Amino acid sequence: MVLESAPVSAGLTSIGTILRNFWQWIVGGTGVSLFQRLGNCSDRAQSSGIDPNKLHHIFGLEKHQLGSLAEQMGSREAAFNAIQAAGQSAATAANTTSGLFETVAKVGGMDVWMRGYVIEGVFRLGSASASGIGE
Amino acid sequence: MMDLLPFELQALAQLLTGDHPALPKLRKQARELTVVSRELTGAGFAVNLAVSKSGLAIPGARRRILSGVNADVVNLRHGVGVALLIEEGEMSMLEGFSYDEPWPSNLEVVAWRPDAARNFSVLD
Repeated sequence: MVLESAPVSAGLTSIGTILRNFWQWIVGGTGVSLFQRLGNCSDRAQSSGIDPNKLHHIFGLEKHQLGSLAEQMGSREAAFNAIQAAGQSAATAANTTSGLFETVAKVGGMDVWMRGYVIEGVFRLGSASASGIGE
Repeated sequence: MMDLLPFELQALAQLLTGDHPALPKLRKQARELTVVSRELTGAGFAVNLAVSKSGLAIPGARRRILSGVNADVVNLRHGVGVALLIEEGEMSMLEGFSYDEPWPSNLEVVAWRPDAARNFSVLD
């Protein structure tokens, strides 16, 4: 009986440990709330630092025709960064250090229309689309 | 059938303001628009459009983006931009977008601000 009950007891202990650890994770041994922990998951999704809504706006709208650029660059994030970098170069070349800035620039061989706002010298993308120039 | 919302109508009117010879025909298209679909992206919106009357297409490139218009809105430091996609000479999509800030749930326009030097050459 002892030999039979020992594993059961050990199993219950393990389950208890798991449940306790899970509860600790929820309530947080360090005072971190469940909502903060769930927020961290969202943070991981945004670890690229790019607003997921902005990515969806630029690459998810079919008529922007930028899906192939994201595919070519390996991800929407990489394509976003490439567009942003092209916008930054163009804004810098135009000596635009603040305010609205719009241009068409080559990104991955594609002519991309982009409009953004230069804030303290940094170009922030508002929207972008395949420009259609030369078609 | 969906209609354009007040902000969208204002945005379209602003985008179609100017002297370029293609603009009168685009204004005629604006009176014959059907809203095919509308999407809120969290960073802006997009309205897919169809021109219900034939014979109003403007000549030129297959795909053009008419933009250069911003609006000052309540609670957004940098306002919002709007742009119009023209495909095969007809209005195809109207979009609005924010800069570095989420699209507001309540959009209240303070003033429309066309760029000082709007580029109408896309309509040539």
